[in-house]
Amino acid sequence: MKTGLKPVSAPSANVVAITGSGAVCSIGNSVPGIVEAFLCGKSGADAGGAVKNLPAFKTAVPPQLALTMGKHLALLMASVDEALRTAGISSGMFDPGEMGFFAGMGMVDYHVEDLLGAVTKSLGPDGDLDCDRFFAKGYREIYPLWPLGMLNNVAFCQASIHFGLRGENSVFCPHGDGAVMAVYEAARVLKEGRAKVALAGGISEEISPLSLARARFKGVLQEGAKTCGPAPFLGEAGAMLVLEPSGEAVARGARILGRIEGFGFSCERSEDGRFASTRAIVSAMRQALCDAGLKAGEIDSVMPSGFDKNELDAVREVFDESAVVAATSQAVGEIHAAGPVLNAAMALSFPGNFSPPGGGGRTRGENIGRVLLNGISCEGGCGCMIVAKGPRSEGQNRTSNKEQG
Amino acid sequence: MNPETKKRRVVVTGYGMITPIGKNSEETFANGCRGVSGIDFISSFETKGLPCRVGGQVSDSWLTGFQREKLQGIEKCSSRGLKLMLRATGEAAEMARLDSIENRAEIGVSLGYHGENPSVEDLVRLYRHAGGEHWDINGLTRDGAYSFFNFFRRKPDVAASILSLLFDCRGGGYTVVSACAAGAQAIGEALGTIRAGKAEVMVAGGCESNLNFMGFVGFVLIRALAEKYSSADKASRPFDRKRNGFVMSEGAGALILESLEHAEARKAPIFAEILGYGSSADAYRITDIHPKGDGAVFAMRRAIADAGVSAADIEYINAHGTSTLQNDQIETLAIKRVFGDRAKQIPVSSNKSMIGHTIAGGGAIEAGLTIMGMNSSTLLPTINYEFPDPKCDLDYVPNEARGLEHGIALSNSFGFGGQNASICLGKFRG
Repeated sequence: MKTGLKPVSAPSANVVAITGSGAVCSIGNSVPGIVEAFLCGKSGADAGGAVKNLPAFKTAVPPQLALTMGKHLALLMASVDEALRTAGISSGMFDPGEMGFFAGMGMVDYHVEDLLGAVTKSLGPDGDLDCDRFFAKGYREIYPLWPLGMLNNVAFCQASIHFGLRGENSVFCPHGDGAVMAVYEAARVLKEGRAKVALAGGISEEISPLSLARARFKGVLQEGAKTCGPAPFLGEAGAMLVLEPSGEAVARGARILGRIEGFGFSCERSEDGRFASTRAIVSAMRQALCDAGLKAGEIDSVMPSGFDKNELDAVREVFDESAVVAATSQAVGEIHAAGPVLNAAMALSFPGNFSPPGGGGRTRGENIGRVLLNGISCEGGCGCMIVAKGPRSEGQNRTSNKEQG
Repeated sequence: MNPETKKRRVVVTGYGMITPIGKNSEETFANGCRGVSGIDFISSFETKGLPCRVGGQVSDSWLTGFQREKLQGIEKCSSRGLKLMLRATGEAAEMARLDSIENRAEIGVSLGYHGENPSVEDLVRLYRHAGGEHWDINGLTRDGAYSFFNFFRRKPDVAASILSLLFDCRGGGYTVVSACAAGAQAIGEALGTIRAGKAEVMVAGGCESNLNFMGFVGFVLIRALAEKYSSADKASRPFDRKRNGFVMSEGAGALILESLEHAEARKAPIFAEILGYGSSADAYRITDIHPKGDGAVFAMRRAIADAGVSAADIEYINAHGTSTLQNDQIETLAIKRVFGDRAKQIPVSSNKSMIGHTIAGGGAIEAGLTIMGMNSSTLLPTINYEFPDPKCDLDYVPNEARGLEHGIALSNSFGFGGQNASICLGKFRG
């Protein structure tokens, strides 16, 4: 039986341009602000990983339901808003039915206060839950629309309503591979002519006792870590890209921030069940290179999902020691589904003399034009995408699959 | 449509399901043909005092054998929804001879699922460790009362990961969480993945198990469930004038999708072709469907266009048909908008009349039953159709299965919040 994870992709045909980006995280509430803070060495740990001072959006949703949706909604709305603004897209510019929307959404956890009333109303004299009381009337203390807020797609649907996005869509959950899948799906519907423009990105989990506990139990966090390893803290973030067919974006005079070049996906847990296997991560990266028609040497920088050993081993295997590795997880924390898209937004905005932390064989400060980004799940899912700055210039030829071997 | 990305045909080489009316697809379909209802009074948790006390349960005995064989090491991480999915996928994988595929990196997983709900007991434990103003997070598990595994049964992607592990699928694996549209969207995403050359084979489907207090009571609170019924088996009555809410059920459905050339090369059985897929968002209100059915119309039209057929070619519609006042009326309206004068000539039926609503499982189960119906020239009925509703005036295949040769069908799934999906399925014609 064959066990190798060989690439199965073919080079993509049409060019998909990135015309807008939006992001919020614990070190900034806009892409330029985040890049500036990152380059200054700011850490979101100071804010406990939380995003603060998010802009308020007037929505038709009942306030208590908005509270239940919590940070998911706020992070998503803020990043979509900035992405559309930077793309120069205003209401009415596109037929809503031709605006696609894809997102990786972090886990939704209930707030204890949402349920506490029902529990306290149902306690017996001994302080234990009296199920008869709970089933008979205690549950009625729960806000009726609370269950809706617990669905991963409801904040997404609310953003669809607010921004009038009625085209092809899907919601994936909950890690970085889901966000790469969202970008991939957006690029695919554009190439197939099923949408004129598409938003794609990812939203982290909200920091809560449950999300913190889950991350700690799973070993996603290595709190207090200063060096390689899992992220030192849990972070909140949202990140979105606006994608358009390149030719149509140019025709409408849009600024081309960059272009999507390739994707790769795989899934395999490491034997200890802690993370994706090195083999699976290698497979996803090689597929993305193959999809883009690129050799490893044509990648200027690798932005891994973090500093997990398996992922770094995979990067070494694909790129030898030559890769410039720039990871943001030490600065913004473990941001789950927001990770690879935030990295993409940052990579497209780094100044020409960007000097990434993390080292590598290349001279620091060299212009970074093409970046490979990973979104890896602790459950084994691997997504990889390649983005490049600016419009595609004449004479940029792709390596064929055969040359790739 | 770019011909480069559309040229690959995608076929179904296996299907499987587990529902309240059958432990596998054959039993489910046979009972469906007889109009058997799987709805009964719920025994899996105490429903005393709730306005709805009926649901569609899957017998535990249908799961036991599989647990013993395959889930020993990871059972603690496995939610009931996942266990249902493993059963459905096992059937589909066997049918498709999935084991015989050498390169496992060619096989991906696309699953619609939302994870397990917390139990009432969990809430109490969490409350005790809330400690008033702050949480003692480590205390949650210190005394062993709150299991480490609870966190992972709640995570939807754990199910896709375990599915990949147990069926040795090493291609991309992802989890779709678009409520009632999730199963259909997972199939749609899998279709796109194969068409684009990112996989040769995809295990696609959905599963759900909400027949526990916290899963169930959520839908009680939003008044979405049937509250008036003369008997349990009469509670789910899509398109009937006396319908008054949906009936919660549990179940799972799995399809093995495969590129035609890959299936033919390995001489796999081919049961149907996935011709097209469309999705849309209502973008109207979180709590209401678009009153003119815009989202449903867009999804159906896109699926038809993607399939390269016309509305005139559609011979049967497997409706979302939940038995809620709003859905059934608006789905009827949307079908009329898409098919015009021909709408009343197209048979439309709802499997949920017999199975109930399996949320993320629905789209996949219904796609499987649609395929079986095409291959046996049978239309499954909408049972409990007794009192015609003037606003629901299509041919709903009332109460009895009907023999009819049909080759192209739509299967609709519309989710809470306004996400919609429609799949166009075709009999395989070589």
